Amino acid sequence: MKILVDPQYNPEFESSITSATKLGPGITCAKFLGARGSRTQFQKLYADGFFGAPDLKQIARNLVLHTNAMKTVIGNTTFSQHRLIVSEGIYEPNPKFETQEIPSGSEAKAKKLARENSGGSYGKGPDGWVARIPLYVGERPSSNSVNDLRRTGRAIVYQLINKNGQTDPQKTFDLAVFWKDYIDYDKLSLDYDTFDPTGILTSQIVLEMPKVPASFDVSFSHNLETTFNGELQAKNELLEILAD
Amino acid sequence: MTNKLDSLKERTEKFGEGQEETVGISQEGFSDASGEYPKRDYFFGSSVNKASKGETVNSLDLGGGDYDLSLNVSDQKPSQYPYNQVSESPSGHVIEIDDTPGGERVLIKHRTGAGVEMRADGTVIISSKNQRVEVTGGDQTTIVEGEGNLVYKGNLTLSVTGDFNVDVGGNYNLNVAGDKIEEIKGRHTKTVNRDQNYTIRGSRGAQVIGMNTETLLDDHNVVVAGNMNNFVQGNTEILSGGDFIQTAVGEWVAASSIANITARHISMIGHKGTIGGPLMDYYGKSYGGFPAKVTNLACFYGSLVGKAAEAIHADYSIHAASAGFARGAATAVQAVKAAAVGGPSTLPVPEVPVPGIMPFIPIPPTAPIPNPAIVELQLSSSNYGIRNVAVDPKLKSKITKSDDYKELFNHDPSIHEIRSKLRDPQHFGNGSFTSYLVSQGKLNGDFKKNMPKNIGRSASKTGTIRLGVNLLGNNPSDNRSKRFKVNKK
Repeated sequence: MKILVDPQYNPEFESSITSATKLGPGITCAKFLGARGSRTQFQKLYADGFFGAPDLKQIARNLVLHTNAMKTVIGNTTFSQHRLIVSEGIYEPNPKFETQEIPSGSEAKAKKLARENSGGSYGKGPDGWVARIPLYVGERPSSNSVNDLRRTGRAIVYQLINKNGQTDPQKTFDLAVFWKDYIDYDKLSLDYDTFDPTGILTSQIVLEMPKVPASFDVSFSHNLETTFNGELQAKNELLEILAD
Repeated sequence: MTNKLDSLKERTEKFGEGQEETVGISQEGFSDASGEYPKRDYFFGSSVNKASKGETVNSLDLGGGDYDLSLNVSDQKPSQYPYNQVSESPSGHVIEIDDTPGGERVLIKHRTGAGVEMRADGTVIISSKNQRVEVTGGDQTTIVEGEGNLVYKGNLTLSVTGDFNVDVGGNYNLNVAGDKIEEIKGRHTKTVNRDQNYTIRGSRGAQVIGMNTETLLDDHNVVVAGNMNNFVQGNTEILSGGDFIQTAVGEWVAASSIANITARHISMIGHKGTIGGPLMDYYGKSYGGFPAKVTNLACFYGSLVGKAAEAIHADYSIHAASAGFARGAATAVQAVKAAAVGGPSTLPVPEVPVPGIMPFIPIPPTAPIPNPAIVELQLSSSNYGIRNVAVDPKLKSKITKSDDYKELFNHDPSIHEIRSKLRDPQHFGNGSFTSYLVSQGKLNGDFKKNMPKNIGRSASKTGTIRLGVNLLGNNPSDNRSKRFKVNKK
């Protein structure tokens, strides 16, 4: 399926991607970067291999699909008294680097090795020339987990907030059903939890999208699931879980 | 190209002039000529607007609040007839002037849900479904007697041409998830009337082109867990009005081409080592070696100007038997003679006592002999000994909180951040991580209870049967719209 993107909001036409890059009417990349659950900036993200800069255009293209999903809710009279917020957007694993010294024999070799590795440097140690290569020892999300997909904007977590500033489990179920019928996705997870120390039931929707190429030609898997406190409750089915 | 006139012409040719000219005109002559009214909802009933009778309530589309941010807007009570004057346009714009007792309000609503509403309690609600533009040609004053909340889901840019003055009566809390960058083209002056505390979990650097002056009127403590290096291209002065203590567990090195140590009382003791050089002069009251059972362990090599005590005694015949101890005494006497006649030495020659004439009265050392026990005692004493330095190795992890949160957070996380982390199965199953969160009251202790208390509706993967928005037919008792099923797979 080829996604038609409004040229005004097509990231492919942007010279650079920033938090102010518009993805839709009133929707910028900042909406997906500053979520309460995962505040980060493009500058703090790493490439897939945890070294080097990320592919921001790839992230923006993935976010276009999420923007389209959000647009189906904004202005929808069914949800006119609720607000759809990005509760967990782009994910930045907690980073940590250690410097690894690699004996190189000569200055030229040390310099070459340092250049080949992002953030590398070289110098003379007690035993001769060494290349100092940063080694990522920080958090590595489980492969293909929600957090892993969130690194590139493929997965985003949404909450539907009522006028009292709380998530509305019933309306969240309505939204999940609405999205199930009206938008395309790889996986839609209706997620409930009682993680809050007060024990209040919180509901959110995890929307996973496929990786969007520059051609915007994508295919969707349309998988469904319902989880409660991290435990799968139903596969290919949405369940409404109520507080009492 | 087709236009309206073409269409009229086509219709006239197709249906005839009579039908075309009478479309939309009621036969009775009392109906709406446009055919717009009555609307379907008003068929077979009063044409008085339902909002006027309280059967429906027009309200603005506000959306919800933000997480933990309530809009504090109550539902509007229905109007009572005939207090509510309602004007509704064909497309759905509404103006209401409601005098319903207890529910007095004024509403101006756009068909999109945007508009302005003034409620009975004086609340004014403004809702915009798209942009909102506010331009003030002159001054603008905003006074809020209560509290305020501003939430921007995108970027916010504040541009002030003149001064920007912020006067805060309480605390000024700034929580920045990313970087904070300040560029000040002029001076930066800060006055803190009480304490100031910084916690920096990374590195810190400062580049100062001009002079750096710090004036401290109380103690100054610097605790360094690693190395400390001071590189000064110019002169360095460390001046102390009290004591100045330097100790090192390792080696202490002081080197200079010219060194001066001056004190009214000076002590230099040690187990072993070297003091002196080829052109060094020594002056003092007494020089001693360490006493042993038979003799003194000290030895002097080279020439001696003056006379050893036992050599003096050798000058006296009654002590002739002891002359054998005056090793080198003859040499010493020769040296004195050589110096007296202007020998090769260029160094200042001290006044030489004439042997046998000047009485020699030895003055014993006033300080105890610095034997190894005394040296060790001094090194281990609290005042003059070596001070051990130890910084709590866990202090770093306490500051970074990395141990507590298993390297997943370096700050106290919110429930939103915790929920985000727990989406990864490896963190959800990390017992020590979740236990700590529970112990800190940041995570519900029942977070792993996976049996929901109550289950409501369910929806399968297939499309849901829905009702269309557009109404069909003229009979409201019929199905109000077409039923359809979304099937996009």
